[in-house]
Amino acid sequence: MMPAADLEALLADREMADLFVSEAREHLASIETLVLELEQAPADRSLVDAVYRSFHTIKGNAYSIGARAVGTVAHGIESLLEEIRSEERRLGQDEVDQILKAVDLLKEALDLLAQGLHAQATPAGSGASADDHQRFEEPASIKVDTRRLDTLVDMVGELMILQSMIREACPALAQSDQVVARQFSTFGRLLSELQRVSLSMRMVPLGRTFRRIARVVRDASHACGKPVDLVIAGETTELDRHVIEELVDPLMHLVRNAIDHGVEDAATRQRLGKPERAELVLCASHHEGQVCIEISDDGRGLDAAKIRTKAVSRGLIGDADDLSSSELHRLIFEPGFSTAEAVTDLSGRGVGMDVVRRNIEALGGRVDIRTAVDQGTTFSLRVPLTMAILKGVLLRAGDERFVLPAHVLREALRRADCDIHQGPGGKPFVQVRDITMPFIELSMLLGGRRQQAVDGHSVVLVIDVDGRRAAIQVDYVFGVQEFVVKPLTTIDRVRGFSGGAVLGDGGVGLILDPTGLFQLMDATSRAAA
Amino acid sequence: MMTTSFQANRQGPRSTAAERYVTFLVAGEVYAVPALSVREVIRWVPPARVPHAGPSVKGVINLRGEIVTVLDLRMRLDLPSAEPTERTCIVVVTLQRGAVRHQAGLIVDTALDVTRIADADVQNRSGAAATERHDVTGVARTKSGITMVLDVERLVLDGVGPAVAAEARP
Repeated sequence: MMPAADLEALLADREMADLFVSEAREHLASIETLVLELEQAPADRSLVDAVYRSFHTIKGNAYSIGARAVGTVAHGIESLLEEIRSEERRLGQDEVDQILKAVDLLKEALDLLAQGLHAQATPAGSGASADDHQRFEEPASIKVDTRRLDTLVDMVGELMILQSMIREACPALAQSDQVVARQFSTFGRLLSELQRVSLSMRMVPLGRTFRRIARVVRDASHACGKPVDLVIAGETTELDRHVIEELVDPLMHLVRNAIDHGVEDAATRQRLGKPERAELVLCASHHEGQVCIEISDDGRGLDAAKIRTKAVSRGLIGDADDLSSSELHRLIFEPGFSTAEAVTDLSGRGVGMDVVRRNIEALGGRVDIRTAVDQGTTFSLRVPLTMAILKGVLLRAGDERFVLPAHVLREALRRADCDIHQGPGGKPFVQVRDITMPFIELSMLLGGRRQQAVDGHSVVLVIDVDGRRAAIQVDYVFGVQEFVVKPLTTIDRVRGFSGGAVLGDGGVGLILDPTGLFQLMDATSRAAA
Repeated sequence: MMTTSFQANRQGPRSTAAERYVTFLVAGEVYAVPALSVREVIRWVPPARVPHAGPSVKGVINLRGEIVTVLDLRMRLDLPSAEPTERTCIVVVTLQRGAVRHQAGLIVDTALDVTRIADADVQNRSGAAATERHDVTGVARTKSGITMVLDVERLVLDGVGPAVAAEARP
């Protein structure tokens, strides 16, 4: 595919070559989207023209820079499109396949060229010459190595930690009549702005990921012989690129899974009176400072009874266990559970739903399922905008400090205003605005030293995870602030915590993982029972 | 902060027969870890306890913005526990495994010094009746007396072992 001569030619002007590769990649990405649209509307001349123009540009650039192999492939498709434009040929399935195959081929070729370009040691004289400056005058945007952005974000994080350490160490900063206090507060404002800007530079829209998924949907639908229409919404929603990177695999898996297992075959759909073409909706939106991505199919839905049988046979639950249907649905996220009758090429390749859930939870997010038999299934992923910072409540339980992610907090009540009741088995519960929920002391749950007695500072925090609520008593709430999140590398398997935050005095406050807290609560009550 | 860095040793020429070790005292006995695996030795700071992390994980500390797990060496070595004193130190050891760098802080009573121990002077533990401890790979005679060489890999990777045990709890 890539004669050595091509690479040789490209190496003559590395900067032009890099530009060529990145431009061609962008063209290919847009071609892919256009072709998928074209497949739905084969008569749309403007789409054919747009695809033609992109191939034409790739061809022209490729020949001019000496990447002959790329030029030849692009030229071939250009001719094909010419025939379609002049109505010598109709755009059918074969033509679409041919174009998409060419796109894949070109992508591979570009990857190889890019590798070749970067494998060669940069020559000493590669610094920008006067000519280069002229050529790249007044750029509207520049390309920056993502590692440099990451370093910037990390350094801003260090500055934030330092800022809180200074505030802690210097009480004069709290007195607003001091000049230094005013200066320090300006400094703090600038620093927050710097953090916002540096993080925003790492934010990228989901569009590119969604386009990749559109391709997966098309291929999976062909492989399964199930016609599927993909509806995309919210592709401009932005996320930290690190979060997006971690999302790609789970999304791909969920989409393949929906087509492979969710969507019924044509005969079944006909029998049920459903439209022949299935509909898959991929939708992203902002929600309470998080991003929500939903994947909905109009397929068969999850069968709770079938899941139950399978879970019992796999030993995941006991024969007599009494589980609600939503608890049964969540069992598909357990390791070693697969409802696939046969291991298919598409979604039965070891990467299971358990990996999907684990990846999303590792991001500090969560997966929910909404499903109805014969109506379809929606997987809803909630993830934070970024993993670098977290808005959290700093609190004290006993003599230890913890951080609770602010997004799970529903309300905070004074302990004195709460009426604690003893339920069956001595399990305490509390009623908040007519909703009954379990009550627990955080220091007890975490096995820490308990404060001698409840005092005026004690607060009850109502948290909500997956619609499940709990009232958690803590001994003091310092306030809500943004924390720089650090991973707990060597002890990541510990339940109940998602990371650590460096606090103002240089100490560490563990970040509570709300899902893990509920698991701990369940474990505690099971042990007590 | 009283900080001793051993970073420079990594670049230094390595003697074929002897390796440099960082030595320290735990419950009156001399222990050693290879200097190459030591990131730094810091003065005692109280770690934040990690609930349900198992008995030998003392907690986590902030080491210039990085969170490091601190292991209770006395607990690991089955020695009676002790309150920290002003001589107590944390020896931060690192271990590279593929792309992942593991690290852990070991609580020691007193840091001693950096000593060269010839490979020939280290008796492996099968030959040393005094050591049944798995965490000890060998015993050597040095100027500080009998010195027990600790298995950093085991300490760092197994340091998370109790976390697995915690999962097995009801």
